[in-house]
Amino acid sequence: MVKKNLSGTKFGEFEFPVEQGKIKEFAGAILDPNPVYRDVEYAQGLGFDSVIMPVTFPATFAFHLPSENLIVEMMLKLEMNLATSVHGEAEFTIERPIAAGETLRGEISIGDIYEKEGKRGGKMTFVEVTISFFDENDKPVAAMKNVFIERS
Amino acid sequence: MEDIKKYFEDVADSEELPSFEVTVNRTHFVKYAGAGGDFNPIHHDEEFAKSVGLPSVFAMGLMHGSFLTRVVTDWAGDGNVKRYKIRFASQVWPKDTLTFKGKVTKKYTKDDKNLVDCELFVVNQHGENAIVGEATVALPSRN
Repeated sequence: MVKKNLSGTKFGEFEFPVEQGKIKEFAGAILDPNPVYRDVEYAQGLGFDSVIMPVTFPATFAFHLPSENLIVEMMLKLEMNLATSVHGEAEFTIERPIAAGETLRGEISIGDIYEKEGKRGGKMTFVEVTISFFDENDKPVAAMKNVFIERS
Repeated sequence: MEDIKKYFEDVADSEELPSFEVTVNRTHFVKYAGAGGDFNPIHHDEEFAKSVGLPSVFAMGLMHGSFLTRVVTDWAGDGNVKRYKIRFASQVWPKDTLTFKGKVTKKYTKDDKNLVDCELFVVNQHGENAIVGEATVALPSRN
């Protein structure tokens, strides 16, 4: 049974430095040859301060967590069954382009927790986990909302 | 801004976005694990995957979910994606040949922004969706 009373709670906070080398490495791993992720002069020519974060780059937040196992710890605290849980969905929202050199603040929070009947019977529990990113002026600039699904 | 790839006025209804294909292998999984930070052994450790009853390792959804972003960004230009949502529909295995594609579904103006919604797909060689997604981009206007 997933602990629904944890819905709406903040789970942790971390610093997220947006690093040029990490962006280049990520762009390589996602097979995107776009120079806007590699070449500072090219990115500046397009009006950006430096190379910019790829759309799904917020997914690299795990590197900057205080504990490598924070997400697993969170799932255990929620009493989710790790063996029957999957990553169902990810949604990225981006308020403005974010360039290398910025330092963001990340916040992990637990959103809605709800149940549905599975198509093949059995209960499915949906748990929303959002990682919100704020810039140096504390403005929200990006977010990654995940839906984890536990099957019973 | 130089190098504008797409103006709002030039977007056609149901316009298809540029598509491409990738046959994925374990090296792709390992590279994404290293860059993305997902070290769940189910995605890189064959012995572990087999020990839990799987035929082999399988890809983390965010790997091909990230390959898919290029369908949108190569078309819309850099820094224009406002929202990008992906739902993981089926697993991706080594040697799967994936097609990445998308299509315009809606063109509208909201809060002085010129927005375009697109639907996105990652489809495997059997014609099954591995990912169904959607994106919203804000495009520059000629006016």
